[in-house]
Amino acid sequence: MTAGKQPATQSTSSNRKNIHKSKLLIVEGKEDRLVFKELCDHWGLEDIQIVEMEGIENLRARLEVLVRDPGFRSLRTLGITRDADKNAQNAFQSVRNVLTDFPQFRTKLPSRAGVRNRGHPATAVFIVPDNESPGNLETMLNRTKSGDSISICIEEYFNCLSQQTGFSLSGSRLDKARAHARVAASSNPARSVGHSVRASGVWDLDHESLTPFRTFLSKL
Amino acid sequence: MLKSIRIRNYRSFKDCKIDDLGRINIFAGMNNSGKTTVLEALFLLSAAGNPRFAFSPTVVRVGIPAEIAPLSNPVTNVIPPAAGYMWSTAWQPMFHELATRTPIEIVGDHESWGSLQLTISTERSEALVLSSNADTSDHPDDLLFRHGRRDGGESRLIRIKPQGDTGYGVDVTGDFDMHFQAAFVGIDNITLDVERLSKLKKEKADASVLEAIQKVDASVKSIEIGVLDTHAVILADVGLSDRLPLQTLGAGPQRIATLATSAATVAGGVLLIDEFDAGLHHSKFDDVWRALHDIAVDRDVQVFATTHSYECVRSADEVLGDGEPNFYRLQDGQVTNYPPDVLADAIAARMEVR
Repeated sequence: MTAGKQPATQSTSSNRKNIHKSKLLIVEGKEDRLVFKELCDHWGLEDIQIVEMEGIENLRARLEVLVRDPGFRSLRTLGITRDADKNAQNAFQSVRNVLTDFPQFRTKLPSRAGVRNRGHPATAVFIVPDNESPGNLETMLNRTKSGDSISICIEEYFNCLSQQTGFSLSGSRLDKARAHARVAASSNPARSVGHSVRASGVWDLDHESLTPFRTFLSKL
Repeated sequence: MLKSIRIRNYRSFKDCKIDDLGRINIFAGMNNSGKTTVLEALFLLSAAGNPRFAFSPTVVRVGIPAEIAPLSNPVTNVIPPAAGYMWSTAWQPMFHELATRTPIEIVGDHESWGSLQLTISTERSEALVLSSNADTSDHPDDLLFRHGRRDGGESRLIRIKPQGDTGYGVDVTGDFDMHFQAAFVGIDNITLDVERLSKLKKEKADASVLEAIQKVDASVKSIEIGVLDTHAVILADVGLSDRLPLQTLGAGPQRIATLATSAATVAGGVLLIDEFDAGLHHSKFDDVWRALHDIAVDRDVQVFATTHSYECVRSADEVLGDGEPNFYRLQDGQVTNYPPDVLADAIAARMEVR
């Protein structure tokens, strides 16, 4: 008798994907996809296709699928982003280790984060927020509004929480909390940080702190 | 079971190797990508030098000519002249880019038989051709099918020779009987289904066919072979006063009967299914895959199926056991292999795999 597997996610012909652009950016999750798609649109970068790996632990599995896609042979550049979390160098090395397992990438591995190599396809890795600092997507977004009046309110809010309830967060988790607080503080709150990027004024998409990422995307 | 197959200079394939074959193998790809060609190649390889199967490309591509069907004793037999069209319509197109001087090679690595090889080549005909339509510019060459082991030893050679108005002659020399059974399932053929079911009933091995049909139509209590208006048919008891011809129950039961009888009759061999999803509603794919898989395991049959249906692929991924199916996408004469875990990931990621 046969042993069944768990049913896969339902899909229809209308939402199945292929590689259809010459530049492919693999991102960690839905929030990243929403934010980076908006940034690409805002910056006029229309030739980049963004796909989710649905968790950094799925990078290898997602690459196994993508290298078999009919569009892979026409791919010029493969970009990969992931959060630095506590250590940007470790995060970069983890991506590099996965790429090492693929003959398509093994011979031309990216030497450091943010720099595109000359393989075919070329590969490039960006460690969010800036290839150097610890942090994540929300760290990157918070920087675009660093020091504004809402930031001051948010810091006071968390200080108050800390004093009144013992609330305690730090690092990446605190950055996420800050970002959610900012989204909540907008006049028409979006349902997530990812969706909030479309709303005017919540984040400054032309802020200089985004320059390393904008340069990375431009040179894919 | 076959572990791999290599196809060279055959139709759209210049040189194509398919590795890691498993129990259930599914092929997808655009139209004219070579899916049916893979099935043809496997069918030819299975023939082990039986001249009857030298005509299988014709069977698959242009329908079996009535003149060939009764070729019951083909050794040194003569194919009637009506089949003469086959050179340009069936055999010449077998050669990659019509390069008939470049031999076709089909090599299969078989668990039991080792590396089997079929070479198809042409040779300037030495036969005296007397034809009322003599035209030396269109004089076909001899066609040679050599079947043996890749590492040498005994082989069997079929030489098909043009004989003008007489048609084609067939000479068979040598001996080679390392072969496996194959059934090609294309368009439903009720007569063939009846023949196969008769064989299974004689061997008392038909229970799996009924079980398979019941997975698609639970009202079928039993199946018998009968004759209606001189035509042999499969009759189904669905609890009414009379038994009904199986095909009257719809395309689903008929299709599963074809697949089940074909699978059950090629024990230890290969079942080649062109367009698995033909005649089946997608809601039945799970049941059909389960039924087919159970027969394949029980009868040690290796299944090769083509499809254009995403639902068919997803169904196989969901209902077959771990390690199955092996999925292959054909494009531009090359094969991309999706091992079972990669196929599952591709489907979960909503990636197009066909």
